[in-house]
Amino acid sequence: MSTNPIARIRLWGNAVIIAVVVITFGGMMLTQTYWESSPWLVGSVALGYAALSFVSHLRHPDKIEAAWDEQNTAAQRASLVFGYWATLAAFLLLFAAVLTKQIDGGVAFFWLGPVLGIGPSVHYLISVARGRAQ
Amino acid sequence: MTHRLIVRLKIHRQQAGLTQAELAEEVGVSRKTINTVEKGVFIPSTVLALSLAARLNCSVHDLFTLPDK
Repeated sequence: MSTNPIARIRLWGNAVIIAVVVITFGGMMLTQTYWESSPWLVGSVALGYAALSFVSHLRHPDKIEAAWDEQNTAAQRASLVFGYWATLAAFLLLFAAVLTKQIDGGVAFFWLGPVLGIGPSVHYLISVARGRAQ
Repeated sequence: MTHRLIVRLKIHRQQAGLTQAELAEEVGVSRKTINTVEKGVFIPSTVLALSLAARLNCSVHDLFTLPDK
């Protein structure tokens, strides 16, 4: 694992967001119930990560350049591109499901959330695992 | 137009007596980036290539070349 504190927080932040989304949305799917607190939980974790990331940049200004070097920036950009296409693909699938009356429009919109939320993070973690980012 | 790049960064870095982490620190990138550049996995920008060459006292062409056709 990287010794750069900014990169470490970024890695763990992405991992925790994925874990929370998978647990909450997976749990809802398995139990077929809506957990009222799930959006708040996911939102709180995401905002907490954003705040922690912001503070880490303030505390370690000398580490920013290496944490956001050109390879990490390229990996970040690729993860955003992946997130866009993953969301578009999910939208088309859900749209088809709504048109064929398999699911309600509101439910379809609800399920776009986790794809939009964790798509870039999943791609970024895969980049880290493949040694293409830190 | 796609070419496979021949990378001699590792040789020059070792000749300079630097570790990946030390070279990374000096040119302002992560150690992972130096590692992937050495492996030919990541193609550095012109700016990074020039920075590496300047630190290792050689030309960019010494570090990176295209294979002969």
